[in-house]
Parts: sequence; structure tokens; C-alpha cells
Amino acid sequence: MTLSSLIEQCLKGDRVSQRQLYDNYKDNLYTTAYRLMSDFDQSSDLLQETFIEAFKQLANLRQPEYFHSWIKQILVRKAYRLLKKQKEDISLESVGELSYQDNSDIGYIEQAIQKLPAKSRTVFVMTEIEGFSHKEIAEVMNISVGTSKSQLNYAKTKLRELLKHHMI
Amino acid sequence: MKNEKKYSYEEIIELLRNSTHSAPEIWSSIDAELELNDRLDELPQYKAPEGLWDGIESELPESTPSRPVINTKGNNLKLLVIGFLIGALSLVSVQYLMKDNTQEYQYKSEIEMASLVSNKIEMDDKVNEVLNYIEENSFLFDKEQLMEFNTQLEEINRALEQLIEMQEKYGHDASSNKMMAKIERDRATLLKSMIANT
Repeated sequence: MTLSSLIEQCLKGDRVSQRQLYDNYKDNLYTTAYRLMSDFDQSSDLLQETFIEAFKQLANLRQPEYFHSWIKQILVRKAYRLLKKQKEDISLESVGELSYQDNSDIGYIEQAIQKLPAKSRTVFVMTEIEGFSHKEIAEVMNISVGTSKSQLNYAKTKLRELLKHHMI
Repeated sequence: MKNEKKYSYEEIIELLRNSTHSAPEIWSSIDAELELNDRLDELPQYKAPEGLWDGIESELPESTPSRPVINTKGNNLKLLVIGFLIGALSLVSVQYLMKDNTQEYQYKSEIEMASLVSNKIEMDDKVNEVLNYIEENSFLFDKEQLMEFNTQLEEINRALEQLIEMQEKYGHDASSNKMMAKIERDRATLLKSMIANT
């Protein structure tokens, strides 16, 4: 079944199709949620809220081929709102050394990302990993394009500092 | 990192792009929420019983004639002006109604009843008849009584003039009609009280 017809079925309220759509994107969205929230429980809640809102708002999606980008924007908007509420703003000076909680290199890198402040972390994840443009990020996060760019530069600089012994 | 391998920035991004975490099993929660939403959407809509409006209308303080919806900028401004005028007029009327009867008036040597009747106001025959009677039989009233009557009638006429002007400019509405009726009632009461004193 193509994405368009799957979405069409979802719009009719077909639960099997809704489940199918959920299965197709759940891991990708959960991963993004985790990278933004740095907490598995919160990421799980966020994933649930995102899908529920997406199914409710599905009629507003004009081009089904952009479903992935559309639902990710819902997730990022929700995540950023939550992060702002939590007033999470860890200064990098207090970060200290990264510890090995994970045997893999990727686990270590993710730890470094989680040490970034919320705003620069969100911009970094969305631009560098998810491929969003600064314009899109600016709209979702309600910041200027300039701010998005400077937050990305900040994130990159800090990541290089954190991973300096492991980067070429 | 555990191994000694060093990564470039691009390799790190590539690693991140290719790695995913498995989502926990939360479909049942999503399903339950969607199910509830579906049920809420399916709740029946009931038709209001016929004749309900009649019951509501009978409980309303007074009928207000329906007016066309005005939504242009210019008309909104016009409405504001009308609103302001009605407000100002209400204030004048309230002041008039609340005026203390013990107010002192300046005496004039001569009382001209004819001047009390404004040209702008179309008096009905009965009112004119009473006014003529009072004028012709002014000797029946004491001077103070006549002065007070004169002042009160002047105020009533002024309020009527303003209201008529406003209605000529902006048309009649429920509020101005109500005000007109109230002022006319006051005038009738005033005239009656004068006749009763004779």
C-alpha cells in the first residue's frame, strides 16, 4: 500500500491503517524524541502525543508525501515546548567528562548531544541529523533563521570540545 | 569511546543518522485515545424541541427588532458614533431624572410659555391643549411653581430635541425608541401634576 492510500484509509478512521502508519514511523520518531528529550519515558509520552495529534490533524496534511516531515515537525514543536517548560539549560561548563554508559560509540556520541542546551540541541538534531532547513527550524521553534544558524554553530563547537579525543 | 577509532564530523553525523532506538509498545494507549475520540465524534446530536424559542422569548425583558449585520469599517465607525451619542444622551437623561427637586432656580420677571414648546418637537394635540391651558390660566399657579414647571419642561424638550436629531441622523433603534417613550412619559407626568395643582 502506498503512503497516499495508507493516509487516505487513516482519514476514514481505519484503525489497521493507522496502526500501519504508526509502525512505519515509530522508531524513527522515537529516536528523534529521545535525542531531543534525553529521557526515554518522556520520549515515549511524546511519541504517543505526537501520533494522537497527527491522526486528529491528518485532514490538514495537504501533500501525503510530506507526512514524515509533517509529523516530525509536530513532534519537534511538542518537544521544544516541553523543554522550555522544564527550563532545561545545562551550561556546558558544568558538563564534565562523558561516561561510558553504553558499550557502543554511538551511545557515547549521543551522550555528548544530550549535554547540549535544549535550544542548540534541538537545532543540531533537526538540521544535521534530520535534514531540516534553518527556515523550517525557525518556524517550528519560533526563532529567527539567524538564531537557528548561531545555535547550530554553538552546538558543533561544543560537540567538538566534548568529543575532542575521539575526533579527527 | 571504547575503541580507539577516531571519527570525522561527517562520520559522526552518518552514525547518528543510521542509528535508531526501538519505540516501546505504546500502540494500545494510542488506540485507546483514538477510540475515545471516535466515540465522542459518534455521540448523537439531538434536535431542540419545537416551540422552545417561544418560551425563551416570553421570558426576555423586551423584544429587540433584528437588525442587519453591519461589518464594514465605515459602518463600524458609524455604530461607534451612535453608541457614543446614545451613551451621552443616556447620561443627560439620567442627570435629568436624578435632579434634586429642591434645586434653586433664577427667577425671571416674565415667564414665556410659548418658548417652552420647541419647533422641532411635534406635540400631540392633548399636550398642546394642556400647555395652552396652563399658559392661559397662569394666574392659577404661583410664580415659583410655574418656574419649576418651566425648567423641567425645558429639560424634557431639550432631551427630546437631541433624541429626535439623533434619530434623524442615524435612524431609529430599540434603545432610542425606549428613551423617547420614557421622556414622553415624564412629560405627561409633569403636565398631569400641573393640572392636578389647579
